[in-house]
Amino acid sequence: MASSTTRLFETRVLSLIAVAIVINIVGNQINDLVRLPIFLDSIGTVLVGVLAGPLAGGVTGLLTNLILGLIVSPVAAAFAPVAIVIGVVAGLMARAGWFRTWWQAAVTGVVIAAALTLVAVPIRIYMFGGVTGSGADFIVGYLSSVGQTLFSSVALTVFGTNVADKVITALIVWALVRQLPERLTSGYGHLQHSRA
Amino acid sequence: MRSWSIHRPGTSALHRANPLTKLAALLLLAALLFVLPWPGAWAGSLLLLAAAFGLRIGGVVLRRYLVLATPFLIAVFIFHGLIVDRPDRMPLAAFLSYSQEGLTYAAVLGGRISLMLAGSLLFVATTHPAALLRSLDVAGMPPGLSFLLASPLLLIDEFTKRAGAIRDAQQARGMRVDTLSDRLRALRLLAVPLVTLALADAQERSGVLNGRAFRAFPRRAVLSPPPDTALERRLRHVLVAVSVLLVGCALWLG
Repeated sequence: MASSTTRLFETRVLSLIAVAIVINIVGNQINDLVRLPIFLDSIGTVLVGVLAGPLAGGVTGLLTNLILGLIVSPVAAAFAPVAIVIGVVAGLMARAGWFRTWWQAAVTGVVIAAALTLVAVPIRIYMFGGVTGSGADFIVGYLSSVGQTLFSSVALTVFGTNVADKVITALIVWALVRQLPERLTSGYGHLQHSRA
Repeated sequence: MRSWSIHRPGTSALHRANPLTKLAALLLLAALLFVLPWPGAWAGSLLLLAAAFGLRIGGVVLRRYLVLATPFLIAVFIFHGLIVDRPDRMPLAAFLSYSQEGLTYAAVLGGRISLMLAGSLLFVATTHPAALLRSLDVAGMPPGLSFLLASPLLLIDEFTKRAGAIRDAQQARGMRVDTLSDRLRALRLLAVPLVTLALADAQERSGVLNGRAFRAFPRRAVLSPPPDTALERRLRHVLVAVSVLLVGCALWLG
């Protein structure tokens, strides 16, 4: 393991992952003020995916949820695979050049939401019975009461509640990487895929 | 400003136990979920909450338990008891009907989550993150991974203050959050400075770490390792073995 972390990530990337985890955790402090119906808990994960690649993005997501599980709620740890998918997909999309323009970033947000839905739905159904105690449970309840199956109710809810969040997150990251000074980004080779 | 950690220092046996031993106990708790009937899971939750009061951390543990568990428990009982269509649905009152099967399923899910939540909160309230990381270092965790786990825990409060300061500064400059477009603009005004500062911070930290050659050796030396005894090490092995056995039996017997 020692050699693997040394080989996989430079110290600069390790430091980036560490601060990105904190950005994820304090992201909802920002949302307390703007009161948008979004989570804002993966700006750091997507940012690392764009700057340092899918593996670093996935590690950022994993550790964010493990740390949240440790200090806030173990429920967060159960959704760690979802956070991994967000980071990996953001990194892969960036590598494929889908962070060059604002509309590509928006499409990337939709793709991230679709990918995380595939992972989040089984966790939400088999571990939590489809509900987690969040506001989105009202949508699951409504869809179930109008005849949707539990699976489709949860899938539609997860995708619907995440798509706006991930599009906004991807657009914020796109705006960020465009205006960051060269001295802060010069060491992140993966960023070349997202330069217009 | 929000307080993230619920850790409370103390001198109880649970406080003094090695964090890895407590992690092994949590593993056993998770394995028990495979075999415990739902009344047992609820009884276990109550026992753990009562133990928290015995350790004089009951207030903080119960508050966090209620904040986290209540919304989930309400949602799971309403959803599976009253909303999901099941064959045994019976009229309750007015247009409402309930399902005994659904309520039982909700009790199973609620008991599992409740037990894990109570156990995890007891662990978090009696284990300082730094002690956990030191015990992982002693167990041979590489310095890079150790840094990734420790650094965010140490930075959270600083960044929370920073986010609050940026918010106050932008509000003082006249940032508005009345309409949707105002809010989206405000989001950018708040997120961009926070992330830019964070990236500058990351660069500075990597320079300092490289200057100290912190990855020169595959393992970190721990100056003050958490107490550990031969008895605890044996206990950890037993806890892990029993956990594996329980999960294996549960899967084998279906």
